[in-house]
Amino acid sequence: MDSIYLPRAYLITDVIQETDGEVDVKTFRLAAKSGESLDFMPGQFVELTVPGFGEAPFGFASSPKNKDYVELSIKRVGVVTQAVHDLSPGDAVWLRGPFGNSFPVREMEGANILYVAGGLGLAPLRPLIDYVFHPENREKYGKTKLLSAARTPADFIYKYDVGRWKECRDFEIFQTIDAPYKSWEGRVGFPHELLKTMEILPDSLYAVVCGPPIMIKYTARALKELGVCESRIITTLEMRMSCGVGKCGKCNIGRRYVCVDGPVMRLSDLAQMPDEY
Amino acid sequence: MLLSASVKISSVKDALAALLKDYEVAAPVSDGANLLYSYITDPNDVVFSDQLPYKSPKEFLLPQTEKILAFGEDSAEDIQEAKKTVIFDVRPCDLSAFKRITDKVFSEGKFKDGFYMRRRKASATIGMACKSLKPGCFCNLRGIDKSYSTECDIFLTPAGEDEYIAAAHTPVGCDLLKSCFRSVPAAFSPEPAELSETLEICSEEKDVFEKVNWDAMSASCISCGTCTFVCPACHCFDFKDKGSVRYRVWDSCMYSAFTLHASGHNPRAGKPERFRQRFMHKYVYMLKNIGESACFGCGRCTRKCPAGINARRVLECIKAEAAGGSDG
Repeated sequence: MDSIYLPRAYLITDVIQETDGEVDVKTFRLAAKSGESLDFMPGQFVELTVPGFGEAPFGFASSPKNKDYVELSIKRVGVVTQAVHDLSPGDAVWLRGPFGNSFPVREMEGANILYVAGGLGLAPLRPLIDYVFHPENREKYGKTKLLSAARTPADFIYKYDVGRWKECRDFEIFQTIDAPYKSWEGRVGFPHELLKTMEILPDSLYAVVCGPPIMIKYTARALKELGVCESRIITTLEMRMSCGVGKCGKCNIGRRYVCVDGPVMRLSDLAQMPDEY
Repeated sequence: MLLSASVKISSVKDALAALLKDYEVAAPVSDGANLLYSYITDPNDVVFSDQLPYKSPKEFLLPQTEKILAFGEDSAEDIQEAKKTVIFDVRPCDLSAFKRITDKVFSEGKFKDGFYMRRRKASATIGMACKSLKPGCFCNLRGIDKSYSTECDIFLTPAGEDEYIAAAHTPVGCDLLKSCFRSVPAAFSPEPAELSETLEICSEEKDVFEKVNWDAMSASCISCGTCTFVCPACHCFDFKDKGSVRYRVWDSCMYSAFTLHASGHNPRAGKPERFRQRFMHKYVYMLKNIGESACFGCGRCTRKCPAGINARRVLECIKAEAAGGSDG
């Protein structure tokens, strides 16, 4: 039996430069050298290796319905991410996974969904958005809205998805940037402030919030104040981790391990956990 | 117990010599300054003493550095070496740490760690009674009987001046006892231990986290990580790549890099947070997650702490502060 730490070889088939602003994000499209598909659910993550540089966890960023390839959106920030950014189509990386729990897509059936994304936080939401939009699933869910925030207009990722998503029925998108910016005529302000100006019907709503910890905290608080049930405010967390399978002892928040008990957590879970994220 | 027999102390070196024919043997030896577990080639190097080696023998199950895989062109290959090993003179505290903590973490649940499991399966443990509590030891407050354990293949209990009673607890232990030890069958009924009440933190996770004055508690800690390396139950690790080879190496929650994100964010950036993590992981999280605290009172962290931190006293303070009023 293969080790739980044994990765498989993938080929980079495409690299998309997502941002041209303060953060450098690229999306890597990866296909298994063996040809086999990597089945996952929205919210799960994978461990990516660049040999010689190390391994790091990344949330899946593509539709789980796509069996030919997976996409990971990676911000250039440390040793491994720099090494990935230096790679080109045709180069190899190694993947191990999928790991972690997933968004409660069954439980969310019948409800309206509000996605709130801060910067690269849109990446782990994208599999969920596309899962819900998939023709097999669209009937099962109500109206969906996306509130997407970025530092500057150039820092939005998946700009090319907006047109495609807008064509889906019962979908609205709201984009906002942190501070006024030349040539930006859209909204300005943080998501937790804008939420108060949006029409939120809390009773039938699941709110899924992804972004930096500080943004999650403020947004979750605002949603709670708007009357959204704590168990239906959902987020994904990030922690440094090595193994991804609950052994190495790094990614815990209190007694819970982000790698196996998360990364998807409800605000009602977070309320019981020590504040150490 | 499957089998019990008496063994002359003078014959144990012969038994170790017999074991060396088929097994790697790890046993307490002296490096001049410290007693430590090491692979032996000569039974005469083994130190028979009531002292505990300064590090636990966990390195024979979870090596401090081990190759786990090599990257090839299109596939990566597991490195699966696990030598047949006998670990000799393991005390009840360490035996419990392996049986109740590392076995559970690495061998149970959805994800099983083949590297640990292969080593564990290829290893036999020969346990030994402790005659006394050493300075820093508090196994008696952790529910451990220093005189007897069944969590091994063979357990040796001193009987009189020149004999051990060997109790074999597993089929492997029976085979080793019969094949390598000169022994004569002897009845054995270990005396029930008189244990103190177990010192356990019973408060809720958030109370321990918030009410304890971790700044004061950790004031003298120097974040050296020695406590985690000598501990039989600490098992945190990291991966390190060198060329096309990936190694697993021990890591320590006492180091700030343990949780440092690539972004620079660090959820446990300060010494108090890391100190809190070590004690809460042992006595709160593990107890909740697997039903057992990851401390068996071996006292090694206390004896080796360069800052003189006494784990038992810290544990008592945490227990008292966590159970105290909301102003901590």
